[in-house]
Amino acid sequence: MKKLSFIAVFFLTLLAAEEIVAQYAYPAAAVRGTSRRTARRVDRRQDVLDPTPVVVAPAAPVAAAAATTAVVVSTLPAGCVPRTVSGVNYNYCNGVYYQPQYQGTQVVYVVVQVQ
Amino acid sequence: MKIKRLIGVLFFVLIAIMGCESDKKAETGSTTDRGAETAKTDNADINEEAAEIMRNMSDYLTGLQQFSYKIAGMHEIIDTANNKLEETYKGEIYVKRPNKLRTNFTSENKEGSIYYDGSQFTMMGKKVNMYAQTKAPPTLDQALDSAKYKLYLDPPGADILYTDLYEGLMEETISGKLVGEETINGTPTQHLSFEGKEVDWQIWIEKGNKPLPRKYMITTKTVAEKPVFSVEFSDWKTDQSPAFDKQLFVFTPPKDAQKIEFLTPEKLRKATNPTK
Repeated sequence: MKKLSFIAVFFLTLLAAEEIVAQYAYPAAAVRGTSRRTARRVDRRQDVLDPTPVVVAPAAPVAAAAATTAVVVSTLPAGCVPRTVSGVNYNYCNGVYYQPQYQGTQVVYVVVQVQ
Repeated sequence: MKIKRLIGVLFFVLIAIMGCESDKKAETGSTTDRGAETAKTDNADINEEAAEIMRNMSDYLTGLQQFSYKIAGMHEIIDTANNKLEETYKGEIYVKRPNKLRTNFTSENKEGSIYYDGSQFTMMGKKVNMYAQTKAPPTLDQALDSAKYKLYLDPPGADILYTDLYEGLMEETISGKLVGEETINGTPTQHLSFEGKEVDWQIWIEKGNKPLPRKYMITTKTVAEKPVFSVEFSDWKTDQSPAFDKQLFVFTPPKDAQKIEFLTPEKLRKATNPTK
């Protein structure tokens, strides 16, 4: 029984994680772009360059919480103020710290835990 | 009873996952099976004339130790409502083999530069006045791969920047032919067309003793809407002297610019999966 429910939770969280990534991996409204290359060899080499880690299912409550909060956004919510903590600049918005990062040529804002 | 219900739930979840996976494949051409994609093009039906034009371009470009050109083009994006949106961009590319690259680009809402100096990548955005830097591999070929897969940086038409680009372009190509002659921005070219597994592509190559690409177009077949990417190359500078100024590839941060990090796929996964 325990095993079965664990397996069910595992698949559910896998599914949840995929959905979150699918939703926020492309912060612009765009969801599907165009190939800019024909060279599929590069895609195959990706295995060497960037081994995809085995997805470990987080505890179910975490996945559920994450599903309700965007963790990477292309624009900041209203009411943000700049804050510097330990020399790093953040945008502090209603109790949440957002860190600007470059996803390619696009600046996106990643929710981070700041102590 | 409970076990039966659980098995039912599990079965449903599995079906849901499988459904999502196949949807995704249909839409984006998931590359999860890429290990199995070891097709070689030995049997590809490439017209010999087309192959020779391609080889000439490949040899010519690979032989250039330094060159620069301008790019202008567009690519289509399918938004969440399945509308086709067009994004246009312009830029300049400077290459010094074996390991230097500089691009300046502008698009609708962005303006910036990417630097690769042989050991480091820099992305500098002018409008946001922010830059990010990270370590880079020692050769241009490796750097282009790394930029795409670790940093989401992919200069339009980067296919042509690789050494021995013939091999790279032909790897997944099934057939190809010479379509005819066409003039692109005043330059007489030969128009070639190729069919691949996931993309179809066309290239226009300058006639004469400088077989340079003048236009390049890719149609993505793995997306139902078949979005198109196209780029025109102009203002080619292929003289080997005088040598490019070294400073062209070296980034000096503006005084008031903010230094930020790159979001890597690994960081993105961690951000979306915080217990990892």
